Parts: sequence; C-alpha cells; structure tokens
Amino acid sequence: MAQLAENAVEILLVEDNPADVELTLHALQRYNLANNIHVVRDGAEALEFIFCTGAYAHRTIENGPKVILLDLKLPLVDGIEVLRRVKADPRTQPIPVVVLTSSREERDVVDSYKLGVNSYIVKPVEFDQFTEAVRQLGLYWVLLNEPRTV
Amino acid sequence: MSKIMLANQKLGLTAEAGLFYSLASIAASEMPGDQALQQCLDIVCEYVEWPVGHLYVDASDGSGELAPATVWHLDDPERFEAFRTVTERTRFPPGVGLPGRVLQSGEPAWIPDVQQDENFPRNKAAGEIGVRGAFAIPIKAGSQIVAVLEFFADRQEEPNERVLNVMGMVAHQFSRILERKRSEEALRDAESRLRQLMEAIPIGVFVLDSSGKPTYANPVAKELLGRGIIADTATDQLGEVYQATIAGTDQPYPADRMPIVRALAGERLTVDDLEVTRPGGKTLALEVWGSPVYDSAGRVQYAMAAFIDITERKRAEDALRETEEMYRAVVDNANDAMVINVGAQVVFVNHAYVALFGLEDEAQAVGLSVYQFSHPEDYDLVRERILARERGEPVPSRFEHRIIRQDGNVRTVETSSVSITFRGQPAWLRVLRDVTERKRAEEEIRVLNQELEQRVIELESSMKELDAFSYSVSHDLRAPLRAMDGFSRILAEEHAPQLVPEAQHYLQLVRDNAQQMGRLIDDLLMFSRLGRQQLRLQTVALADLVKQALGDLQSEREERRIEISVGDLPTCRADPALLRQVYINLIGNALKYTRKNQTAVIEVDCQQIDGEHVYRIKDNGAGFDMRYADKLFGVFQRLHRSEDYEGTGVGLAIAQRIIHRHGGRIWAEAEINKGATFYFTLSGGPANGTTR
Repeated sequence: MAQLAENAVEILLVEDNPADVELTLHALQRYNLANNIHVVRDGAEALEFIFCTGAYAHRTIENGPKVILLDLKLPLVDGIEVLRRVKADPRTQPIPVVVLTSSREERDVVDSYKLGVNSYIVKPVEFDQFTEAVRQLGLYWVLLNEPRTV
Repeated sequence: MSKIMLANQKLGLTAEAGLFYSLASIAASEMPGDQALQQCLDIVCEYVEWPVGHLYVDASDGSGELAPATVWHLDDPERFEAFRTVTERTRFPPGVGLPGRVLQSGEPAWIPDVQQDENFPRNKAAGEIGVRGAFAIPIKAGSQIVAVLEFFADRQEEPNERVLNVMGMVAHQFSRILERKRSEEALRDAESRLRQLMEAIPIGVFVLDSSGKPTYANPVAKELLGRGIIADTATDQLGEVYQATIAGTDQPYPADRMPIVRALAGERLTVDDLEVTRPGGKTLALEVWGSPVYDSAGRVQYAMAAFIDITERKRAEDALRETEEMYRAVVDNANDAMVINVGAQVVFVNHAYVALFGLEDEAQAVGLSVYQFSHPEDYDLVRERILARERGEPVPSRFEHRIIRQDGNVRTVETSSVSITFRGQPAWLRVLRDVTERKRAEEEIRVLNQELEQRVIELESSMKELDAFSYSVSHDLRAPLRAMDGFSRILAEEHAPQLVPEAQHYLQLVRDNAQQMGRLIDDLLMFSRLGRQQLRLQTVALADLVKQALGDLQSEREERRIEISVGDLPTCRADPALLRQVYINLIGNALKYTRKNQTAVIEVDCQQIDGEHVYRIKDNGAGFDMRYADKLFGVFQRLHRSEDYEGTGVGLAIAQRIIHRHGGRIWAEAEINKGATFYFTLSGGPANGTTR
C-alpha cells in the first residue's frame, strides 16, 4: 500500500499484527482510504506520531490524524495507555478513537477504564462494521472516494 | 315432830342430845354444804320451836358486810313472805341491825321485841310480817365471823336458857358445815380454773382416770381427734376407737406404746410417729406427750396426754429432705467439679472434683488448701483473683488457669465462683470445668485457620494468574485464526474467477475449520471460567430468562416451522447470566437437532417431582442412543457426526458445570429419531421457589 505523504494522514492505524494490518487495509481499500492511512506498529511509535515527538518531531499536532483505529495489545506501550494519553491532553482529546477488540470481554474490560472510547469495531474488521462506526462518528468525509491532496 | 326427832326419841336420846347427834352427823357427812345447812337449820328451828330461821354470810367482797343467804326455815312461808323479800335485799354492815351487832360484838344477841328495837332496819316490814322476838348467833371460823344465824318468833320472847345453852354447839356445827362448804367452793373454783385453762390452750388434752377410762378431752383434742370421749373405752381399745396408726403405715398403733397408756404406769414419754384418722377420712400426724398426775398419796390419779398436729411440720420436713436429696443428687452427678471453701480451706467437694484431681475420695480433698493443686506458674494469678474477690472488687466471672493433678498431669480448668454461706460462715462455691481438650481444639482450629487463610491467599492469586493466562492465551490463539479466515475469504470472494471449484471448496474448508476453532476457543474459555467464577445468586424469574434465551437464538429460529411452548416457570435463586447460558445451550440444542423435522416441537416447563422443581426441555428431534448417555456431558464428546450436526462438544459440558455450581443435577432421556428430553434441578432438595 502506498502511504500518503505523512502530512495528509486522515486515519492512524495502530496495530502490531501484520495479518490484521493487511486485513484491515484490505477492508478499507474499497474506498481508497488506504491512501489516507498511516500505520504504526506499537504504542510508543503511536504516541510519537500523535504528539509529534521523536521520529515524528517534524509534524504538528494540528495536522494530526482525524481518527485513530487503536488495537489494544501492542508492544512497548499498550493500547490502554495510548488511549489514556490521547484523552488526557486537551490538544488531542477531541480526536475520535475507535478501539479494535477481538472479543466482547475485551470491550467490557476497556469500558471499565472509563477513558472515553468513541466506538468499537470487532476484529477482523468487516466492511459493514467499519461503515457503521464511521456513520456513528459522523466522519462521512472519510468515506469520500477522492484521494485528498495536500 | 320431824322424823329425825322421832328417831332420836326412839333411840332414847334426850331432845338436846338428839339435837347434838343430828347436827354432828350431818356436819360429818358428805352431804353437800347447802343441803346440810338447810337440814341443820330445820332441825334447830324445830328444837327451839321458833318459826323463822335464816342465815347471813360474809359478803366476801371485801366490804365486811353480811349478805343474806338463801337458807331459810319458814314454818309458814306465805305468812313470812314479805319479811323474806325484805331480808333478801338487805345487807348489814358491822353494827347495823341484828346481824350487824352480832358481827361487831362477836357475841349472840337477843331482841325480845324487834318492833321496839331501835337498831332493826327491817322494822317496817317486821310489823307487817308479824316478827317480834329475835336472836342471832355468830358462826366463826377460827376467830373470824363468817356467818350469822338469826331466828325469829311471832311473839315477844324473853331470853331463854334452854335455847341459849345449845347455841354454842349449834354454832360449832354450822361452822364445820360452812367450812366444808368453803372447801367445796375452793375446789370447785380450782376445778373451774383448770377447766378454763384446758379449754384455752391450743394443745389437745386427753385424760384417763386411774382405771384407764377416758374422763376428759378438751375442745382442741376433740377437734384433732374428730371424736370426743367415749366413756368406758378400755386402754387397748383406744387405738381402734381413735383410728390411731403408726405414721406412714396402716398398722394400728400398739396400746402399750401410747404415751397415755404408759403414763398410767407412771412413765413420761413422747412420741412423734402417731397418726389418727378422723371420721371423714382425714389423717393427722401428732406429737404426743404423756404424763401421770399424782394424788397427794403419790399414786397415779390420772394419765394425761397432750398432743399437737404436726402434719404440716412433717410435710415441710419431707419437702426439705426431698429438696436436699435432689440438690445433693444434682451436685454429685454434675459433670463439673464443685468445691466449697471457707477462707483458704476446702470444706466440701463433689464426685466430679475427686475425678478431676485424680483423688481417691472426697475425704482426701476436705481440709486441703485451695492452692494445693495450683500450677506454680498460675499460682499468683489465682491468688490475686481470690484476694480481689474477698476485697469485693469486680472480677470476670470466668477464669482459666492450670492445675496439677495428684498424678502430676497438668489440666486447664475454667472456674466460676460465687459467694455463699456454708453452715453460717461466709464461703465460696467454685465450679471447675476441665477445658484442656477444648483449649487444645481451639489451638488446633486457630492453627488450621491460619493455614487456611494462607491457602486462600495462594489460591486467589493463582486464580488471578490463571484468569490472566487463559485470557491472554485465547486472545493470542484467535489472531492466527483471524488471518486464516480473513485471507481465505478474500481469496474466495475476490479471486474466485481464478479458482477452480475444487480450489474454492478447499478454501471453504479452511474457512470452516478456522471458524470452528474460534468457537472451540470461545467455548473452552467459557468452560474454564465457569469453574472459577463466583456464583452471583439472585431471585430469578425463569420465565424472563427463557424469553431472553429465545431472543438470543432468534437467528436459529428464522425460516423454520417451530412450535415452542413455555409452561409455568417459578422463580428461583440462581446466577441469571449463567442460567441463561444453560437455556441457550439446551434450547439451542433442541433447535439444532430438530432442524430436519418438518415441524419442530419444543417444550420448556417445570414439574414438581418428590417435592423438587425439575426443569424440562423437550424436543421431537434426532434424539440419541441411550446406551451412550453417560458420554453426553463430557468435554468434546459428541454423539452425532459433525457433518450431520455441527458443534464443539462443549455446550453440554458447560451446562452441566453451571448446574453443578448451583448444586443441582442434570440428566437426559431420549430415543433415536423420537426426540430428547433434558432435565435439571437447582440446589437439590425441596422446591426453592414458588410458581408464578
């Protein structure tokens, strides 16, 4: 998948499992959204990207992702911690976070943290589920066919 | 002439001698005093030939006056009636009237004509009554005048020698009679006083005369015996007459043991074992004292018995004895040792005490010091407590300390003590209970509890680890399955044209198996969790649960002909989530195995069998072979081919585990192709709910 120039990232996918990454991107490809997706493979990198530190110090927060698809079991920093940091900082708090869960129990556990998850999608990401989540979040623009250019 | 005079004449006695003789014999006789006086007066009046004779006696009331007696001789009572009336109302002090001057002078007095006499108060009447001549003589006892005899004639009379000569002798005889009369009266007074005494005292008195015949019973005696005296009762009949028995038996009381009979023989005796039965049936217990009464010559004149009713006293004594025996039995048979000590010395112990301290008998313990068996290490403790109690300070009522038995064994006892009075002295009653075994048991329990708590902590932590482990395992196992299923699907959907049917078929198999594995993981995870999960028991309306389960199974029910009937289901105590899972599994199975039916008929209800609620799910589907029924609930065990009916083989195992966690039982009956019925109970035993 071709990744858009980093500045134009619409969706941040935080997922460490390669098969899950591929399946997710495949599902979203139908709307050519793959061009707007940036993938990070662990929680640390996710935080760097969101908060524009480390390898992503050149980025700006205002130009951050419009939605974060967040898996939970991640190396280095896990999904819950990423979620907590995003929701704790006023600059990043408004960003909608969609948590990718693999079971009902997992969803219950995350709910128990009361961190303010915006939506859930069960893995493997099915196309219908994704559109439903997008509809709930009001991110209709995400479903536009045309690739956005900087 | 009177008979006496005639008789005297016949005897050849002169009138005077006859007079002496008659008077003397009367005076010496035993004739009652009043009668003697009357006769003598008659004789004297006949001798002196005067018509009226009368006696005045000392008033005996300290006044010193003479009072008229009612002893008269009247030749013509009618004629002298008025005189008599006046006389009988007239008393004379010394010096007044005829009797009064005789009283004063101590000498006879003669009045020739009372109507001419200044000192004759009865004069007025005398005139009418025709009394003229009078004389009176004093009657003395020793030197004292006790009476005055007066005589009256109906004509004037000059002092007459013949009359005066005999008056001395007459006076003497009258004196004798009067004295006899006085003795009689004194005796009668004494007797009266005695009688009053006998009747007043609250003791029964019964008297036999010297020949043994009953002579007297006072009112109390009559009341107690229920009978009065039956005269002429012989002494050996006394027992029978008065129904006397030996106390506590029916045996008649022997006469020779009766105090009253023995008193006849001069013995004094007391018995308290005599009972009498009154007419009417009531029996009394008596205490009887017998005593002889002697006459002046020292002979037994009477035998007297005094007795009181001791029925109540005996009853009280018996009751007291019974109570004492009872208490003694209680104390002796008590399991706990009891000891009474006065000061620091033991004065009483019971059997249990002897056993506790390993002694031989009670005697060994009495007299010992209370500290005798104290354990040296607890000695100060015990002593301090005893002193504190004696000072009156509050101490806890129970107290543990150790003792060393006679044989050297150490035991722990729990003591409680209370202050009492023992034979008039302040003392302490202590009850000791051997708690050695109890303390040992308590210590063991304490140690066990500690170990148990330790184990619980370990168990909880390993449960947590297991939870985390199985969660993470199932999560990680799912990831490759997702890949397998996901990419197979992409292949099948997007590259179908490039794939020959066979290839597509294989891809489908890959997908099916991946999904099956996913279900297996889910079921295994649930199965494992069920074993560890805490049951959250609530009052559950089963009807609602079944409805929810049917809702969850909606997808299985679409586009099929299904008749589901749900009977009356009671409420019960269960974990709602888990029990719902049971219904989902069982009804799901019913739906699954009736898939080949034209019309599936499923019944869900509850029956009462032997006082329990038995819940039932019945279907008319494929059923199973009852020969393999014992494999039904095993994990991964299936009784059907997977190509006929899919499944993980864990569903029933899960249901069974849930039911067992609730304390119930689950079983099934079936016939191949006729259908299967699954039954279960919750917390086995009588119905745990009420039907709605």
